[in-house]
This record gives sequence, C-alpha cells and structure tokens, in this order.
Amino acid sequence: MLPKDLIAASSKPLVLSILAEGESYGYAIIQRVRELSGGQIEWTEGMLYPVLHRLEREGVISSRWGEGENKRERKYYRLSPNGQETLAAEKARWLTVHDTLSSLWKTHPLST
Amino acid sequence: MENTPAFDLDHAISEWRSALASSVRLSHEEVRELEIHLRESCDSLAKGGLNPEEAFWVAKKRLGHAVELEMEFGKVDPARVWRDRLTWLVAGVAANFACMTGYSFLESILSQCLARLGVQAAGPSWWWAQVVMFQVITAALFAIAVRFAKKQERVRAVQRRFFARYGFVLALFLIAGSCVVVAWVDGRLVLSRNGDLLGGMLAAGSAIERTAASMLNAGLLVVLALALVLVFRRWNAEEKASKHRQSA
Repeated sequence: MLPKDLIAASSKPLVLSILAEGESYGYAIIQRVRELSGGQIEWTEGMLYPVLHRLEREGVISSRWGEGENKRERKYYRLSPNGQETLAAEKARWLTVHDTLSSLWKTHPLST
Repeated sequence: MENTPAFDLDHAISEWRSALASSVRLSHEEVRELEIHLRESCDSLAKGGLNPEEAFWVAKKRLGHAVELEMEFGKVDPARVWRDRLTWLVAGVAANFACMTGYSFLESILSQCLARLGVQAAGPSWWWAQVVMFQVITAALFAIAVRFAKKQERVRAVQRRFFARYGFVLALFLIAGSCVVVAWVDGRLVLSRNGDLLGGMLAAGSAIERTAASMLNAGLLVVLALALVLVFRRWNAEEKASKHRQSA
C-alpha cells in the first residue's frame, strides 16, 4: 500500500492517463487503477470525484451524463484537447523523477 | 436470527444520503454521482459473493468518511467554503433584522387592533399583544421543529427522537401557555379580592413579561450553547480526520 501523499500526488497523471485511453466514469477509473497497480494503489473512492471536478474546472477534462449498459445513469469524463497537453507535461515530469531515481539506483544498487 | 429484519438496500442508501447531506455541503449533482458509485460498488461486491448488507458496508467504507469527503470537495473550489460562510453570516444578520422589524410591526398592529376591540379596559393592549406574539412565535418554532424532524426520512425513529430533540420547544410552549392561565387565574383572584381588574391584570402581566423575558434569554443561551457544541464537534471531527490522514 502506498502512502496517502504519494497517492494524492499521482492521482492527476493516473486519471489523465486512464482518460487518454477513452471516455470513462468514476467507478471504472478506480477499478482500472486497482487492477493496474495490483491493489497497491487503493484510493478512498469518494476522493476521486473532487479530483475529477477540479480537473474539469481547470478545463483539462470535460463531462456528460449518460446511460450505462445496466440502464443506470453515469457521469462520463473525457480528456479535452487541453488535457492532452497537460498529460504530456505530467508525463515528462514523472519520467524525470523516474529516470533520476532509476539512474541513482543503477549506480548505487540497494542491498535488498 | 429469524427476527432480524431483511436488509433493504434502498432504505440504507437513502439513510446514507440524508446523513451525507446533513454533514457535507455538496451539490445535488455531487451527491447523485457518489450515490451511483455506491450502488455500482454494492452490485459488484455482491457479485463477488458478499450478501447485500455486507456489500453495502464495504462499499460505504471504501467511499470514505463524510468529513474527509467534505474537505476534499472543499478543495475543488476553496472559495465556495468562504462563500457559504459569508452567505450564512449575511443571511443571519438579515434574518435577525427582518425578525426584529416584523416583530415590532406585528406587535404595534396587534396592539392597535386590541385597543380598538376595547381590550384596553382589561389591561394594556401592548401587554396582550406581547403575550399573543410570544404564543405565535413559540408555535412557529414548534412547527419548524416538526418540519425538520420530518425531513429526516425516518418516520418511526423520528417519533421516538422527536421528544428527545424538540422536547424543549414543546416544554416552552406548555410553560408559556400555563403562564397565561396562571396569570389569568391570578388576575381573577386579585379582581375578586380588590374588585380592581386593571390592577390584577397589570400585576399578572408584569409577572408574565418577566417570565417570558427570562425564558427568551434562556432560549437564546440554549441556542448559543448548541451552536458552540456543533462548532466544537465539527472542529473535533476535522482534527480527527487530519490526524487519521497523517497517521495513515
């Protein structure tokens, strides 16, 4: 299980990357994160919605109400054109962190 | 275990919704989105082998605590929190002003009407106006209390809780009513002793007025204390939530 601050920091790139795969809704986004992380990233599920609403206010994603396969209404979110750029910037930042750590850990391998 | 009532998911969700609505200031749409999530989560947990009640509790736990949700939703639009506070402040001041103006306006009208009806002879009309106003206000408070109690969507529980929660309003109403009766009887006694109706009424009137004033003060103190308790509980819950977050 990841600490909460890391979960909070990674929520934006995670949400944007999942929405880059196509339109989705809250419950499915959480399921996808759980599945991809092998249960390591466990969100307090209600917290996803404030993140989605904030991204929507920033104009990075847009939403619409629609109907799911079980006739249940859902709020679908999708990446806006602006969101593609934000995702690219996020990706560059996270890769910088990733590359830095990787190169450090390659030169000074930890005795695990 | 045969006596355990069957679990009703819709009922549980409607209770969850009203609890959320009372503790978290969310828009209708936000609550709807969370409810849809809760239902979907219940369905998939039930498919995984949990019974409906277990599925509901797990889904609710996963969704998160109301206080945490409120703080996170507050971050979406931090100005909203302050807008809400300011709105309540302005509304409070305006309501206070409106109540005071309305009260004196109605009192003067009532006083004039009573004077025209000739109540003056049996005691000063302003005094009777105040008694009537006091009764009207108490009745209005009582009606508001009943209305709020009905909003809880738990009819049977409300019947039980009603007296526990709003008993003091009922008591206030009864006390005010009995004060009038006592004063009236008292006035009649003085009248029969001295033959002085006006004197008796005045004596009773000032007694009622004093009682009413002290009760009004006590009522204000109770309201103030309740408000302080609410603020403290809210603050406490926020503290707990932030400690919970730090330790996790």
